[in-house]
Amino acid sequence: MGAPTQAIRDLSGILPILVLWGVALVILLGAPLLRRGPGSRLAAPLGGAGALGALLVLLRGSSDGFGDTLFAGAALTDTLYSSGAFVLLLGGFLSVLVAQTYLRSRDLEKPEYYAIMLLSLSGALLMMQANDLIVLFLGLELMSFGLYVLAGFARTDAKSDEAALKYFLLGALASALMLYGIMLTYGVAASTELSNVQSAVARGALKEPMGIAAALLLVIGLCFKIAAVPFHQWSPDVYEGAPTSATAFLATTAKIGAIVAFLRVCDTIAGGYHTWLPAIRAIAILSMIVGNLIAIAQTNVKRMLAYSGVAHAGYLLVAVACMGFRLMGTKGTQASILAMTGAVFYLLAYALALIGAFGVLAYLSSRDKDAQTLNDLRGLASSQPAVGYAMVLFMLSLAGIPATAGFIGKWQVFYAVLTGGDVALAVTMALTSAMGVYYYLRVVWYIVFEESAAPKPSPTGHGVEARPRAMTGVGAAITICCIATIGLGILPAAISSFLTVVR
Amino acid sequence: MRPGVLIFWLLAVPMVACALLVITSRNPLRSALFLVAHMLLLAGMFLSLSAQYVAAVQVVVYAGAIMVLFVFVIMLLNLGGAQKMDAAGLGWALGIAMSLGLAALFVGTGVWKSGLHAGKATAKTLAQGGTAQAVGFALFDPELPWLFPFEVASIVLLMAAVGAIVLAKRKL
Repeated sequence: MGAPTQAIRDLSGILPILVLWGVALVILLGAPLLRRGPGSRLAAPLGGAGALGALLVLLRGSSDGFGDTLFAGAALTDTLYSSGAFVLLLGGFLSVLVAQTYLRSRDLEKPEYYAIMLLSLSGALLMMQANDLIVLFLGLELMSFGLYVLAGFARTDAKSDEAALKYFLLGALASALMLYGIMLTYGVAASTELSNVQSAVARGALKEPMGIAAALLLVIGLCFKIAAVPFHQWSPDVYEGAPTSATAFLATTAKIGAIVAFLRVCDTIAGGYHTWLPAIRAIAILSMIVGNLIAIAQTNVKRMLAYSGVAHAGYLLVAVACMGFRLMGTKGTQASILAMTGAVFYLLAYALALIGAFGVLAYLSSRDKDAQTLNDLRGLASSQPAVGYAMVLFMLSLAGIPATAGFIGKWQVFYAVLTGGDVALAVTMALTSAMGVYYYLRVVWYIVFEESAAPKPSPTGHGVEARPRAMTGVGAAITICCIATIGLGILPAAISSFLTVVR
Repeated sequence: MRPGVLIFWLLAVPMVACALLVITSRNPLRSALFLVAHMLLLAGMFLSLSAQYVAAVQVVVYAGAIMVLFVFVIMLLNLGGAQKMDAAGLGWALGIAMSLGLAALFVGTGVWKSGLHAGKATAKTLAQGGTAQAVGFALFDPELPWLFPFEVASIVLLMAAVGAIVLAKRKL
């Protein structure tokens, strides 16, 4: 009896991943039917159903079997995974909605896009469920391969090609560094399983040169993925060059997957915090300052959001740094748990605002115009008030203005790091957030107070396609993001049953 | 010098030399050939660690199949001639500094009192450890944590194949 029930338990633990794989395979196998003709309308709904199905399966299964390891210790399920997965799959679903409209209006739609999205999501889920560094690495690669391809999905666009190539080359370098780190970890721990790594760290493995090198290489590899300074060079070009729907997806997916994995890894090696905590603190402070400073100079909204993403990586690294406080007394332990919950909420707020903002850009794009710059947003509040004020809301949430979800996320991380007693990080976070308000509000200024540069689209001719698009995917995505951003800003407790990380 | 150590150095020095020649040769075909030589020496290294199966796979898959594809692509793109590479000052210097830093890191961690723990290998497990049978049992035993990553790897390969086709094929 033992073996089959064990297998079923293992498989049900990764049910969301299996759903994603299944739907992705259906799309790939059915691609000839989905490519043209009447079937082409089905590709996006299938992709959305895959992400939504995985989300529902996750919510149904989240009552039992937590804290278990699966597949003889290769993977695990816990509340950090389940809350991270909730955010990830919600973001994935919203990204499908954005992609449906954007790809169609830019004439880029292929069923493979959605299959690649789902496989990429499954990779991020694997990163969160990994209980072994090898599985973590495979998840990272599965996620990244998809993101490279999506970045280069507009094949005839030189900028998209450039984005894919840059992302791929630097991503490959990051993967190599991380693999070196895993190799050296095996050298000091004689295992890549996290529990064994943890006990090796407790024995003092991070005091030895090889252990120090291993920890730093792992940190560098993950910092590449979340685009933290000084490993952020790829992000502006990739954000700008990738098709807008792909930018929305890769910005959120990579950050959610890598930050949750980062939290887990740093939680595992908390015993050797003296080795890695200074590095993380330095990278966090640099990211917050550099990201916010360079974002001020950007006139392209996609590039600005890339640098703002660097700054947000810095804020999230503050939460990661809190993992290092876990073994510093009760306050420290409390801080590390608060930081986990805070980071996941932060990721949710960030994903909602970012997908919403890119959704607005996607909404404004048409076959011959790709909305990217501040000028494209000029006077949006008077020409298309609903979309304009939605964009204003997303900017306010990214800036962390109270009554938006972004504020609650920032506050939770801030509170966690103060509980941990790290005043320097908290002060940097507060000051750089204030700095960031400037460039978010500049977008708001362009939308609300600037005169529209182009005359209003005439009801005939090209302008006509702007209207009915509100009914399609991207309109739904923007609406959901708006409601959730305000709702979570006012009632953050509404979602805490899904998002609280328990230890 | 013990024979094992001697074999290590006999393999390691030409291996590093070949790796350096791969990235310094101006002719891509020559780079590919040095890569083959590097991979064959690496297979020798696996053999000296009594990992016969991995050594054989290294020869068949990497030195064989994958390198054939490399050479094929080089020929197809007609990259036979020497390519001019402009060595831009700062980037070049940064690259060399980075690789020297990494090399120092690895050599350093190996040479200093490193925390290398003795594995669980004994003479007996070593003797049978490298066979195809032993590798197969390790990979497919549900009691070991390697079955799941092995299956995941197939999805990763599928992803790579789909991605390559999507990016390369002009009209699907």
